[in-house]
Amino acid sequence: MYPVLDSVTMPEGSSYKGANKPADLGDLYETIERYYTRRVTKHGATPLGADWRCRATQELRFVQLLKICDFSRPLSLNDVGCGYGALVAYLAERHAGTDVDYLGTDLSRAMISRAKRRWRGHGRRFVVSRAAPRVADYSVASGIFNVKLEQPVDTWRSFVADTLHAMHKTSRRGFAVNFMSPAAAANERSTMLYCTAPEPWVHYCKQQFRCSVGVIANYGLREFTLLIRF
Amino acid sequence: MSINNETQGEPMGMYIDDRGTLDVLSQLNRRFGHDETDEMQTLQHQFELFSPKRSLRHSFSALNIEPQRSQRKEWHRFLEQELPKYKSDNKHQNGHDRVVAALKENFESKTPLPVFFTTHRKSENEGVKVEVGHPTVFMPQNHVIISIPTTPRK
Repeated sequence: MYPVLDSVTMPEGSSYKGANKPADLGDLYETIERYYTRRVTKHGATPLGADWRCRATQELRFVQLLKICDFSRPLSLNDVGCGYGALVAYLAERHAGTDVDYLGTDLSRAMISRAKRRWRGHGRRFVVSRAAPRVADYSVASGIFNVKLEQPVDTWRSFVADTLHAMHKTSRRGFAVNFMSPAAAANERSTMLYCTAPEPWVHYCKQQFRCSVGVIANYGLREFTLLIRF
Repeated sequence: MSINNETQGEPMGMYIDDRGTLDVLSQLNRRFGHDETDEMQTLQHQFELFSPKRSLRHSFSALNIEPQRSQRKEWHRFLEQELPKYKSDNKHQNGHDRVVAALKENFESKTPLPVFFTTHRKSENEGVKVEVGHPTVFMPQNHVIISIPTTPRK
């Protein structure tokens, strides 16, 4: 577990009070795994199966996240929470000219098994894991901080912080993540979602990682993307 | 009510049933509604979602606008094979291309409007119609209204 900043005031007015016990996050990971396994079992290897609304908006998120990458030369990429490997299709379509050494990780065995089946023979690797087991040039994570289910917000923030630290540790040049903005909370599922303003996490990344942090917003979705460059 | 291809004498109900038609209209009107305009504008800008180079089937599938699985194949057939046979209010465009052009033009404009899909009696006008107006009394904003010729199912 990594410490979280006591000094970061969250939009809701609360502040971090320190890290949770590892056992808390163990339960959290199991809950996430069960949730996404149910989704993919019900909807298959489709955007709905990974809890996305549609392929178009899923790919719009990839556009923002991949702004962290320099596609002018070969690169390695960790895709954290890769689901059934939708990013692989996007890379093939939009960045076919760049040699990408891709590794996808996910908590759900069912997701990874579909990803492997789908991309068998394409030289892509997928593993069941909480974090990437290797260091790559870049890491991206799309949507993994959004659905907190019944988890307390403080526990979820610890999960976010842990994940950011893991991505920092396993990325050479930078990483990118996205979050839902408070505007996304105005629907019936809002209590199950984690929504935040960018500032706390921008501040957190700058302090913890001594890096530059770019924020992309206003791309048509009620969310924002952080580009963390070293 | 079912969308109908009178040219062939086959009601749309042969493709998707009445409930499926209503379901698709509902999905379209949610997806192109007032709250979604920014998203659709961005998608158009980023991916050219609506373009003469893409079929509506492709565009709607990318947005996950589809009837239930049992009727999906027939829905695709309607979009790809039947709608192009329809006339439109633009004599240079068939029904399919008219819908694509209207969506493209709207979402590429600086101030795109929400879009409302509806139907009209084919006996009154056999072409796809596109106009700007208020689709219902409870929608105060201007919308691009796209209306598909329809024949009530017998």
